[in-house]
Amino acid sequence: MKKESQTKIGGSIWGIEETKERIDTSEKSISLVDVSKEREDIKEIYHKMKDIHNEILYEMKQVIAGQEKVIEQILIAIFTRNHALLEGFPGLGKTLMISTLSRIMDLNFKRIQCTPDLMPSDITGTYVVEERDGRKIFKFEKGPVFTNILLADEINRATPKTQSALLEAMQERQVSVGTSTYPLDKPFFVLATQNPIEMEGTYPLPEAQVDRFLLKILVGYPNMTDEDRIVDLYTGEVIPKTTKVMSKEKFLAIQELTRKLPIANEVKKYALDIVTKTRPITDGTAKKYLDYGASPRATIGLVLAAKARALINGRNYVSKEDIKEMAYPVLRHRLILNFESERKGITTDDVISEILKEV
Amino acid sequence: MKDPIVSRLSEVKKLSWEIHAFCVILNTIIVFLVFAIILRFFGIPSIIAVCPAIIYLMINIIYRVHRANVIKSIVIKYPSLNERLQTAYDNRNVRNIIVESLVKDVSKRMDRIWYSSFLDTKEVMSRTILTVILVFIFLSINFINIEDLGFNFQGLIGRDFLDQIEDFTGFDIVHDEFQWEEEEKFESKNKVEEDKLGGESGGELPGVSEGPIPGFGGGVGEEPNLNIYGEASSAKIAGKDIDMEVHPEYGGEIEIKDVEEEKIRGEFSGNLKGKSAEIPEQDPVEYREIIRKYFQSLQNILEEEE
Repeated sequence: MKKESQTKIGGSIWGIEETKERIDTSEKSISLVDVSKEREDIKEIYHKMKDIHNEILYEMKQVIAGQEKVIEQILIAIFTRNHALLEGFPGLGKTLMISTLSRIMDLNFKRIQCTPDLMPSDITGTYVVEERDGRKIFKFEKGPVFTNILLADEINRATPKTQSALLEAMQERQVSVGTSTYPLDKPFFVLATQNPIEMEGTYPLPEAQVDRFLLKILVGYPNMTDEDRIVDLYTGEVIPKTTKVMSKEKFLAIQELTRKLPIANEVKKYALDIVTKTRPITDGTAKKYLDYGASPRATIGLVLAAKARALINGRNYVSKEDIKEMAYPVLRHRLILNFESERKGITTDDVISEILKEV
Repeated sequence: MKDPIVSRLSEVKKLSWEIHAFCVILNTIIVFLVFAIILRFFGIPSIIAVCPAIIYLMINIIYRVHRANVIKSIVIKYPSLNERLQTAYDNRNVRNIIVESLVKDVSKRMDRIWYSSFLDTKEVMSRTILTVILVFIFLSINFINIEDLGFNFQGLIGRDFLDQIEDFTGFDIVHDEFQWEEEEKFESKNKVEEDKLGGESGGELPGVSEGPIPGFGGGVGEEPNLNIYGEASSAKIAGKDIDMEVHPEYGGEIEIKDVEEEKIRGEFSGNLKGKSAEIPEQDPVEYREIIRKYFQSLQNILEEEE
């Protein structure tokens, strides 16, 4: 089209100008069609957001009994293009939850079982020698990090070197091997699990690396009713199955929508106040119980998480309730208790509760 | 094109201003009346109450200009709009699908706003009634002289304070001051003269209970008689000069002079010759007792003098 117009008119200066104008107009009309189509899609997704969330929950319930809050928080982390750290005792269904979620959302899922002998190349990938047409060439063999959802099971058992390789991928969303850089798939997020028991031979994640996880989700024991359902689900003849709820495109559109969600200045200030109050600079709860407070990354995370929560609940605005609700998973791994608090057995959740009462 | 939320908010703001202005004016009137009544009790001119009323009005206007938040006033009445309205207003310059849907949603909800809900009818009603009551009290105390009712609150506040008000405002509060001074004068003299004057009438000062302020009379004369001692007079009794000062309203002296002297003059008009015992008594029977008492009292005075 571009060439056609050039051959037809080419020559005079005026002709060139005219051609350029025509090209611009045609490109504009194409892009306008695309934009309006995309806009319509997003609009449709936005209006169906609550239904989509309910469908996801329904499908999850086919496999997982209870844990609605944990599922909601995982979804929030995913929709905000962030990563989450799951902490809970073994056998609570952490891995099952994540693998089910990836199936429902039509995303690629890979799992790494972290051990002390796990090497960075085991995660990122490495060059392998390949023979092609009688010639030996180096070919980059992609590691498990090249996926949409990566489950890093018991991340604290991997060595700091391996942990940092994974964390670099999390932050930059790309992998550098030798002189080459390989971008990761979109969407990409890591769900790492930690076991709060058997701490011998583990390498707890440094604070700077923990800060890269948007949420720290605590997976608790199910209640009696849920556990009864779990027993029925996994001791029967029929193996529970799930169906795909959304496409990758739809998923990316939701991620885009999350950031579009408006927030009131007052609500934003509320989030800022909460995060500021965690810093032991002035007298108060923070100085009494904490050594270190949350960084501005926490504020960003808190607002984003609140936006995602509002969106999946079908709201078009962020409420203070969203901020309050998300303050626990966003801040609990970012606050460092002082010795006195640890001695008294105070948890970060207790400190957050105190701060929320103050604000 | 003006944002629908902004235009709706300015509409509400205008209305809220009008309602607020009405309430403030009503409050200002109440403030004026309350102060006017209080000042009236202290004998200070009521016009001074305009000052606190103006101060109140100014404070309210300044507060309204600086602190007025139309969103907050809507949210108080319609809590369901709270974060929705705030968000829509704060993101009025943002254009995306979610903000558009939010604006639509908020506009729809704002259509259901009753402007009358911003007017607190209960409050306005109570204030109006209060204003009417205060106006009634104010007019009443202006018709009825509170001094006549026995109230005097001037003693509760310092005289210096009244002087300061007088200096500051330029209004004359002299009438009350004069009254005050006279009252003080009376009290100090009263202590000295009490025994002297109260002797014959049983110890109580005559006239004390006759007016709102002792010594001012009970309303017989047109002007209160401030001279409580009368003119100094002298009498000669049994060859002795006696100086006397008698309260003009005491009445004793006048009665004796007016009544008794005339009678005596009438009775003793003829020539009296010979000793008193030889002259036959021609006095009317009804005056005999009075004459006897008169001479007896003279006798008593002379005896006391001796």
